[in-house]
Amino acid sequence: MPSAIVTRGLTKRFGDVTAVDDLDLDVAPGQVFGFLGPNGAGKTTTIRLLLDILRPTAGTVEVLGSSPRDTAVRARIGFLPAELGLDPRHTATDTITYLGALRGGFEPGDVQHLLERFDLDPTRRIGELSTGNRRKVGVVQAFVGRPELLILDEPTAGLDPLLQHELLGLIRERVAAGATVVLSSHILPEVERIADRIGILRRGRLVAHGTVEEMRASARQRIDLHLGAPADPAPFRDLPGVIGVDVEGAVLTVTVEGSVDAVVKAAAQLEVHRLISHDADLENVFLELYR
Amino acid sequence: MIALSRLLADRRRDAFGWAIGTIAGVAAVVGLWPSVEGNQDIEQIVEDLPPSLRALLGSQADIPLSSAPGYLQARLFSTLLPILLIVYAISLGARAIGAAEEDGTLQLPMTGPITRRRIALERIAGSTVLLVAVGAVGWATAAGLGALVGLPDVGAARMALATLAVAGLALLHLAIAAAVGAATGRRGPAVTTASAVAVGGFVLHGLAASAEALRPARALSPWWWLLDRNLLVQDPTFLALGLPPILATIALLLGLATFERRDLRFP
Repeated sequence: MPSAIVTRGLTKRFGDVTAVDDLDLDVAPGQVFGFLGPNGAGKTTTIRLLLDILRPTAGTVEVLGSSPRDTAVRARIGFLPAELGLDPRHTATDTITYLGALRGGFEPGDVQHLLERFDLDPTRRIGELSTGNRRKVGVVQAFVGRPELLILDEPTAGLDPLLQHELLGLIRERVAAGATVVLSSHILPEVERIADRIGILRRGRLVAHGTVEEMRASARQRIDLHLGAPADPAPFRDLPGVIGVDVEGAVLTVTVEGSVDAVVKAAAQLEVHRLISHDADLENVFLELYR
Repeated sequence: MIALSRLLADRRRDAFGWAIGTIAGVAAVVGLWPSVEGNQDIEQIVEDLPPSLRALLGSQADIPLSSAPGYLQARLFSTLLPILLIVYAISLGARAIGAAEEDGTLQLPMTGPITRRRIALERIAGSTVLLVAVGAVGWATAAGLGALVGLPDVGAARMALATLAVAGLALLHLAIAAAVGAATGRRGPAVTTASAVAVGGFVLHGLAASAEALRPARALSPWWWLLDRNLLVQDPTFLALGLPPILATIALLLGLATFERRDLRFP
């Protein structure tokens, strides 16, 4: 089966700034591909190249077997942008109906189901909605019509944890039904929960890519051990995977690459009041590897 | 025509406001006619005006201002109506693409299965429909009220011709604003460029009437194309009716060609 997305040598420059640099990407159909990277890494630029909002400086883009300039291809894509840009005077119904009509229509029952699922009042104007509710309108318009390819830029931003959970569930359902998903995020756990493969962008370059398991194996974690009394950091330094140990009073901070098994077992010998694991922040976890 | 009907729906309140303003303005001018009819003092005032101001009033040597065609030309078809329609046209043109790209509202429609050219053409066509509708309201008010107050020597057909010429001039400004907006994706340059053409043309027309040396330059002013003849009594010219739509089409083609090639600049 041909790839849903193929880019070769994809490059985008804005003046002297190279936003996307020689990107080779393959996203297989039915897969969830997670784009990770800090702000300004080139995630949104890449997504915009996939949708023909931007035109490549060099290289090629192929989406669903054709150029994204092909309107027939764009009819098969659902897009949730990071900045929604919805008209504040429209109601959710106006917005969804208009965008749906541009796509050639949709099942009204499909919209109703999504509105109910995300608990969205379709009669209120966008301008009167909270940020979270506006994001819901964005989610509904992206998923309506059951597009084959979903391109989601920071999809969970602005949604509360319950709705994030609902959205991730919806993504899983669509993937189970055969859809391909490309999503961008700067939050690692979110992507870990949903993605089959991860690509990490930094300064426009794909600095790492692979399956979630492959990435997890090489990921760093920082563990804060709040102890009953100051402890000697020396035994921790020699443990497998440990690449750094800091002490501040009774708090021992251990940085680990890969499995934390040995650290947890060593900590079990001490009086541990609290154990805090920081693995959420992508900059800390991943980017140090590629600096 | 989904993008076109959406634009019409979005702008209908706005258009309604402009139509009400136009009705009020036109009614004020036409309603004052009985107090102007045969008033020789006005004739004297116009005589005393410098040539540049007389030109800006669309005043013709052989058509007295106290006659209905002279009065309507001076107060309505060379001042009030063109100014109203040009300002409205620039606002419509700038919002057709430039402003909508700048505020991001074009992003989701444009990532759908519709070409850039199609969405731009539909939005410009919708804007043109609104401009023509407000112009038609102006004409209908002038013609209806004119019949009511008994305007002599000016029929509804002649007023339609004069309104058409004014609408053509406004359309040129709509096209310039839309084209610059399409080329840049920004509202500011669209409004600035079209306003500069409007004000520059107006000033040039006035200056060319007062300074002999500048006379040939008036050919560059769209206002001269409109005001060189009083279409309420004189025959229409190609400059008044034909040239503005042709230039509007050229401006739009250039704007669209850039729009289709460039990167879109959403927030």
